[in-house]
Formats: sequence, structure tokens, C-alpha cells
Amino acid sequence: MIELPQMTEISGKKEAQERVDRIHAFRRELDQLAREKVLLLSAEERARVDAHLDATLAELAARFDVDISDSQKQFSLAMRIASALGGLALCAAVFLFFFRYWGLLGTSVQVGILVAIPILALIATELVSRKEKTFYYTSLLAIIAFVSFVMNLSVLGSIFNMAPSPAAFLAWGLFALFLAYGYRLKLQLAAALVCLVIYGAALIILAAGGSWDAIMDRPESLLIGGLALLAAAFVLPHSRHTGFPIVYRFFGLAFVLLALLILANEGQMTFLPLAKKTVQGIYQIGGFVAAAAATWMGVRKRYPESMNLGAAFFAIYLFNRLFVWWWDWMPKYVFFLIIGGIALALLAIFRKIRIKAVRADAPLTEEAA
Amino acid sequence: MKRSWLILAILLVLVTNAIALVGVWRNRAGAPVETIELTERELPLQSMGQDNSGVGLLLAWTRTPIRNQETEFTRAQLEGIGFDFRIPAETPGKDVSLLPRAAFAVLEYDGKAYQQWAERWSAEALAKKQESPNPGSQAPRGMYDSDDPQTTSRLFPIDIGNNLMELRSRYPDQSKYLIVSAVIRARIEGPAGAPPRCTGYVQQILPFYINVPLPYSRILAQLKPQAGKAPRYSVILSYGHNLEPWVTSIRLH
Repeated sequence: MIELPQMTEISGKKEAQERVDRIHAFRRELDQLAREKVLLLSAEERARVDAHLDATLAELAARFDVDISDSQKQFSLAMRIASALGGLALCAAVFLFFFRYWGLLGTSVQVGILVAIPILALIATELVSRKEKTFYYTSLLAIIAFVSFVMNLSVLGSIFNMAPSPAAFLAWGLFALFLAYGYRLKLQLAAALVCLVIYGAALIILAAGGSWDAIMDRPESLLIGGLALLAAAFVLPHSRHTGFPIVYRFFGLAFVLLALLILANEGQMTFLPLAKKTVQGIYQIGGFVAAAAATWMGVRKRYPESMNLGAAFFAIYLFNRLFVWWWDWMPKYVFFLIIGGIALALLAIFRKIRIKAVRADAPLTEEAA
Repeated sequence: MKRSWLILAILLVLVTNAIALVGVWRNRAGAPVETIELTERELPLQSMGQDNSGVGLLLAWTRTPIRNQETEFTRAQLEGIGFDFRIPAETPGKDVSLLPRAAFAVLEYDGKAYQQWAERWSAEALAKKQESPNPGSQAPRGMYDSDDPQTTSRLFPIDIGNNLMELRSRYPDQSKYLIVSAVIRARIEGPAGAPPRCTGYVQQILPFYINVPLPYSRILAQLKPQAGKAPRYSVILSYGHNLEPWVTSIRLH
């Protein structure tokens, strides 16, 4: 039995998968070095290394059900997609079955069913999670549980003709958060964050004296929620949920950048006691700065979601401004020519950033050179 | 660890439902706060589709003045629920966005507002008919397009306020006035420098969907939604302390 002291340090499937990927890369590099006659291991040494790596892969696969080949990775991706689609399809089936016979049931039976379905789905999620390492079925059942709870409160409100309340978003957000942290599910975390940001935005609108559902009348209410998510990504400890900060960052940035985009064009939709043009100017500059900062942070900290989102919004802000300034008076071919030129300039800038990032990734190579 | 999250999630489901049901109980406890009889014109059937066996009604009110650039409420009424129309002199109205506000709205049923609207509609329709080069070739159409005084809802918003008791004391006749929760939207119109023109209207009535439970749903289950025809049923709606309605009687005409 080969001793694997590192295994105890691996806390989750993500780390296990990263180690599998490192082992594959190491083997490919070892082969390359042998072909280039830089590092030649004896047959005995190579066999020992291979045996150790094979044993490590086998144990990782047994403990974490990680993908130890490219084809397995493809299958895993397909299974994740199937799991999400299956969950949604089953939810649709539950909904439609429910509504098909809805009118034939008395009110108390309707309420009983509405309360029972999310609880049963939760129990099923727990039972299935105990038996599987991959969490495909757990994820599917968790989707059903969440959608059932959304249906529960929505339909209960309809049965008793209640006015919609933002508190429902708090309940849905907490429910999805419990599922996300209980079973390490990113999709549920995403649903939780969206619900909680909507709830927070509704509270801000209420505090301003508005009707809570007028969130889109004041996008700053979403901007504040987005900033809170970004802060949470850095402040909250995620040692047990290593894949979660990326979800916080993605949705935090998405809310912030989207709100800035709306306010840059619709300056009258603001809480600020300033003229429309002034507000638009502030948010136009803010949008460019935020998008550039997100890209820079993505490059520096190696956050791909931050880099991609920042770069995409930077381009959107830029084209949006150019369209507003020039479209009406400029010949269309000149407009598109300038857009094409700017795209090429952006390409050159991103290329430079990429080269810098590559250099930062390989300090040893530079030192050797 | 997982078990504690599971227990929290189950507790959340139970507590949330309990809070909602206590709210329902409180709404319906004691005598109804308002009771009004309305017809299919004010409570048309909601189209549910083949896959839904439920029966629901929509509370319909007539939102006429907007198309004619008029306002349902005066500036004083709108300021009374908290709208602030003070803007810098050089600001055009379109550059100001006011947050819609939650308030109570008084809907008058088959009253003066409806009569006035019907008379104006008829006068407008007649004028259009006379202006037409071939008057007999088309049906007279008023300024309100598809609305017709003979079939449209006779519920008209006539007042708004933040104080429910005050509105009740001003409109005590429950057979004629229905007080509901509503969302009011207001605008400032007019160019920069000109005196601002403040308009406002009922954007939404809450709730506007009314579920019809058993046994009443059996009465309506055989009917299909229709528009522009004589009403086929009357419904008695009761409103509770939270201004949430429920059906207490349905009769076919």
C-alpha cells in the first residue's frame, strides 16, 4: 500500500480534481522532458512514479468520484447539464400535474400539498446525498425542492388572494442558501443570492417611500446589493466551500455593472438629488472605472469570471457611449469603421495584459532566462 | 452538518407557511370590513388554459383618462400620499422619475364617474360617426377604443389616501365604494420652464387576481372567458382587515 500523506489535506472534490489535473499535466511534461532528453528516468524509477500516481488517482477517484480522464470530464459536464435540465423538467411536471387537478381539490388539501412537496423534496435530497459522492441527483432534487418552495408561497398567496410581499424573496433566498451550504450546490447559491439582492433592493425602495416592486425604477437599489455580494466574497470564510466565492463575485459584479449601465443611460432613475445629465455623467465614468477595475482584479487575482465580465461590460459601455454620441450624425460606414478600429485597439490592449499575466505566472522561467 | 441545514430548511418552510396562514386568519377574523356585489364586467374570468382546472377572476377597473392625457387624481391628492412634485425650474418633466407609491384607492362602482365617462364616450362616438365620410360603413368608435360603456367595468378610481379610516369615513357606502390597496404612479409633464403638469393614475390594484375556491368554482367552471357581452354572473366579494378579498357568493344570471 502506497502512503499518500497529501490526501488528508484535500478537503473537497474541487481540490481533488485539481490534483488529478496536475498529475496528468505532470505525466505529459515528464514524457516531453524524456523525449527532449532533459530528464531521463530509469525504467525502475518511472515504474515507481507511475505506480504512485496511479494509486493516487485511484484513491482520489474512490474518495471523491473525480474525473480521471478527458472522456470522464465530458461525461461529467453532460451529467451536470442533464441534472439541471432534468430538475427543471421534473418541476414542470409537478407544476402541470398539480394545476391539472388543482380545481378539484378543497382549500385545505391544496395547502397541505403545497407545504408537503418542498419538505418531501428536502428529505429526498438529504437521503440521496448520503448515498452519492457526485451530487448529480442531489442537485436535481435540490432544484425540485427550491422550485416547490417558490410554488408553495406563490400559490398560497394566490389561493388566499394575498398582496405580493418582498418577504417571500427573503424566505426563498434563505431556503436556497440552506440548500447551497448544506450540499455545496452552486446553482442554489446563485438562486439564493439573486433572491436576497431583490429582497434587499425592495427594502431600500420601501425605505424611500416607494412601492417595493419598483426596483427597476431605482437601479441603485440593486447596485448596493451587488456591492454587498462582492464584499461577502472577500469577507466570508469559504474554506469548506471553495467554489462559492466565484459565485458571489460573478453575481456581485453582474448586479453592479448592470445597474451602472442602466443609470448611465437613464439618469432620472436615481436617488441622487442631482440633474439627469450630471447623474448620467457620474455613472458613465463609474461604469468605465468599475469595468476596468473588475478586469484588472481578474487579471491580478486570477479570477476568470471577474476578468471576462469586466472586459465584456467595458466593451458594452464603450459601444453604448459611441452609439449615443455618434450614431445620429455620423455616416454609418464611418461609425462601424471606428468601432472596428476600437475593437482592434482593445484587442491589442488585452493582448498586452495577457502577456503580462503570463509573465507573472512564470517568474521562474524569466529568472532562468 | 447536512442534517442541521436540512432541519433549518424544513423549519423555514413550516414557519413561513404558518406566518402566511396566520395572516389569512387575521384578515378573515370577525365580520368583513367591506362587502360588495360585482358582475362579470368588473370580475371577468381569467383564462387558465387546458392544463389548469382552477378558476380565477380578475378585478377590472376602467383606466380611461390616461389615453386622453388626463389624470385620474389631482396634484393635491397625489401630494397627499407623498408624491413630491417640486423640481428645479429648468428641469423638463421627462427628466424626473417619481417612485410609484403604495396607497389605498377608492373605486366607485356604477356611480357618477362612470356616468360622466359614458356620456363623454357616447358624445365622442357620435361626433366621429358624423365626421366619417361614410357613417354607415363602420361601427362608431370612441376615444377609448375597445371600451364600451355597455360592457366595460364600472369601477372607477376616484380618490386615494394613506389613511384607511379617513377614506372609510368619507366613503361609507359599501355597495358603491370599494377601498383597495393599490400602487399609484405619478408623472411630471411639460417642457422646462413651464409650470409642471402633475398626473397620476392607479398602476395596479393589489391583489387583482381573485381565486374562486370550491364550491363556487363549480358554478363558473362551465363558462369560458368572454369580452364585450352582457354579464353572466354576479359575485359577492368580502374584504378583510388586510384588504385581502375572498368570494362569499356567486350566482348565475
